[in-house]
Amino acid sequence: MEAQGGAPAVVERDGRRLMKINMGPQHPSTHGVLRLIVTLDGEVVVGVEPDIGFLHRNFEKIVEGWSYPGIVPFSDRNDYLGAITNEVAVCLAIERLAQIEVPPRAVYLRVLFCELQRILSHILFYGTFGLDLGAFSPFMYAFREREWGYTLMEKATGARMLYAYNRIGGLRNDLPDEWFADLEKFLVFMERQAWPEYMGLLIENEIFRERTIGVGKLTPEQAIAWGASGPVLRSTGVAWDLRKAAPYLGYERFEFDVPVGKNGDTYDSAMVRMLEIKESIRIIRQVLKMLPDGPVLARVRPNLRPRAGEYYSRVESPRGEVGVYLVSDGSARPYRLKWRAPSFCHLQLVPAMGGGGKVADLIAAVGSLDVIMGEVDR
Amino acid sequence: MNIYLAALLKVVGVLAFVLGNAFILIWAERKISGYMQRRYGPLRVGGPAGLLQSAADILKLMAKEDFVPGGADLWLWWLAPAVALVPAVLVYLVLPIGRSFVLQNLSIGLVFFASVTSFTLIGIFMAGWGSNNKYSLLGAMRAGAQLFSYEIPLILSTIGVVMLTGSLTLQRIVAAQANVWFVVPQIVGFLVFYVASLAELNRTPFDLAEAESELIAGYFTEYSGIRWAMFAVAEYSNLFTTSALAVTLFLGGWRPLPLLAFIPGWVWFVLKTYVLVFVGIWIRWTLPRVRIDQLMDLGWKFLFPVSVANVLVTALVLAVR
Amino acid sequence: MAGGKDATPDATGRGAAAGGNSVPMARPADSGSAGPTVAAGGQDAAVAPELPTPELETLRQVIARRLSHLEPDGATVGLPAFRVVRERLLETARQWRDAPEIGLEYLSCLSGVDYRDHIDVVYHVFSVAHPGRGAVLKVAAQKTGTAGPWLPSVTAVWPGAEWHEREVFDLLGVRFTDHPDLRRILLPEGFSGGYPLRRDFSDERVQRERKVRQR
Repeated sequence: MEAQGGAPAVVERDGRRLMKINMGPQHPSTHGVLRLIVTLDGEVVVGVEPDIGFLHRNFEKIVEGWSYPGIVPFSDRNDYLGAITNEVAVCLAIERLAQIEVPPRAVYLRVLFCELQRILSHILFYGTFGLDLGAFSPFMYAFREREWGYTLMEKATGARMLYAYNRIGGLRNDLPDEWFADLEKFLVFMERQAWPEYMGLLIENEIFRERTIGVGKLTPEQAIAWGASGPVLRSTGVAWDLRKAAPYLGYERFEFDVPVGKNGDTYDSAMVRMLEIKESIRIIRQVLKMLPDGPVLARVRPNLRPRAGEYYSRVESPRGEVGVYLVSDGSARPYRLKWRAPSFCHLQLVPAMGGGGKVADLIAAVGSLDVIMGEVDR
Repeated sequence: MNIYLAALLKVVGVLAFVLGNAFILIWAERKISGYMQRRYGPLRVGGPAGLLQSAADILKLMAKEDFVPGGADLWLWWLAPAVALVPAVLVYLVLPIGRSFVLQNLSIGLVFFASVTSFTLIGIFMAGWGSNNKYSLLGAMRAGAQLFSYEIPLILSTIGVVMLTGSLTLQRIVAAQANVWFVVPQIVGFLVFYVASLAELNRTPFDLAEAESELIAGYFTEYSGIRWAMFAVAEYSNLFTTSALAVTLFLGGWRPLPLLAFIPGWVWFVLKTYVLVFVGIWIRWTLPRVRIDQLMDLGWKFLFPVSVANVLVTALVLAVR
Repeated sequence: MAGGKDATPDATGRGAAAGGNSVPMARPADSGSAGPTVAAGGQDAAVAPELPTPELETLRQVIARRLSHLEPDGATVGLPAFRVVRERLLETARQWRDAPEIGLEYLSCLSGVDYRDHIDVVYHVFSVAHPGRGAVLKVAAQKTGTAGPWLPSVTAVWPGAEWHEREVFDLLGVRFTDHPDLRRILLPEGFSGGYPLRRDFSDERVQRERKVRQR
């Protein structure tokens, strides 16, 4: 790498004196341990090159030595703000290859938790995006609901962030009735009070709009070519949502809209996420209405041996498309498990989004991608 | 001998006030921001409201290692916090705190204030350059551009007041507001002054020089311990003095509200200043940060013409009358 | 840069374990018989599994008809899968992206799988314009030869493959020719312990009791 060790502080290019600056891995707004090697011409970003791998723990190699049930909790650690969606992605792949029928109640509850997770993740995005733009208070307001949501998660699963709630063949435990009443209260608060507050505090703020509209622009072609997904792709106006495009967990049964942006800038990206919170609430309401009775866990033998073959399961996580490519050779351990992380693909867009703007625009662009380094570095 | 004793007393008094004021302001900012963000703020140190939190902070900062980054320009590095702090303390000299309570009633009080506060920039620049850190340098460059750009509307906006009074002496300016505070005839000047002073103070939404999410801490990224504390004290002292100047110029200084004249002038002065400080804190914890080009646009394309227009209109009105 | 030095293939991962406490992180390099031949697509390549939607079935037929050089691959569940030879990879990728009745313009995932004698690189591609479409393309990179396993890069077709290919290069040691910027991505720059995702990789530093019983 160029900017490592004794790299020159100033480089000459085309008669301009440019400054190389190392943003991260320790930096307040690189969302973990992302490192950006930024070339600056004064305040203008001439070039930016993301450098990743600081959280690399070789997840894919480690799980090759593990039995299938062990993989599910470990997958939580990839996208630690979308832990449920990770679990669902890996469970779907294993269940498909092992031909396990998941009880309907578990399927519905999985949808419920995926959507709850999406709400919580988007809330945090809202908070940290405000932080990236220099507004501190929205962050604390976001944490008000996040705390509540995590308490709900804790009541249901026993953990606040890394749930290990999904099992191969269903869920670990069913939920008591009171929990649903709590959830309903949370949803009502989210809808009536929190969401309008969020909009008023940050999204509708004039400075916020000035800072985000037209910043970090992406075209739909760019986004598709570089493998963007989730809110980043949708902000460019492409209505691509795996819940609609390739329904899993029976998402086709639910009625919801896919919010899309127009300009593909950071404002649209934030706005798409805000609207998705509402759609997720809608889906959860429908789940609560349709939720069937019954067991939540199918009988699965502990030493699971799926049949030989390979399957690629895709799940719409809060950040985009999580893919699990599972190759089984018929033994008790996966032959290969590849984790397709949306943030990994999104980071490739940083040079396109941040180049040419100001330093502050680069921060806004990276913030709008909502990257989780846990799943980038795996 | 008497003169020297008086001078010594003044110095000690001002320093005590600066420190005590910084204590209170830091505590107040933390409490107020906590209140605005559904938090408690400091709670444990020194009674139920965490009153001694700032004292604990200062003790902690004093106990910290005096860390010097490799390759720092030592003289600049060491002197920078002092250079930033000295003007912050000096300006108390001319502030008319009460009817006859001003340390030195200079005839050029306003000019003295404006020129001394400009010195802060030198301290900031020394810190940014001396740290041998690119973030510090960027922060210092930003601070330079920002302070330079906002100095002009800041001073222009006070000229209206000077024209109405016909004096640069701050005590005279206060005296001239016996009937009506200058905020009424000079509302535009007041608003321009307040916005520009927020920018001068590097506070959100104009805190680009120390933009945490971009430049970590800007020009004092590398500072820690007591040197960092000196920057912080200077910052809060500036917050107080700039608000105090706004009070003096536009809000009647130590003049009481009608019917409440039994309360002494210096209480009014401090009270009004704290109200303005509170508004600053309020703005800081509400708004996101602007970008550098937007900041420049606001300064040069909006505040500057508006303040010039304000001067012209004031001159016209005075000429007609 | 990567590829400075391959880890000496420790054919018997257990040999090391017997000596001291050191147990390879992954399972032993070779358990011989239970090889990955099944997953490699050799066994039931003839009987292609049923596809879940008629649209995918159509896509499979379209691809099979138009691109006769592709060999159907039987291991994949749920998506039409094809195998291509290295020489025609780029051309096939272009056709998959550009042919209107195929139109797979979205590269979702690019993975490398080590099958001991060769490394399979697997492309999962989908269509955003036609959400029902998706297919899998596999290509083998042989380990034989002085240059080690190599493949042409598909970044010209799907730019998003850039980092995926860097990852495969980093963790599996497949070189991609014509890649714009083939450098290590996840491992540290000075890493010289071989390629972690290869089956014969063993990390001597890891000393940990095995949680899963040996088969």
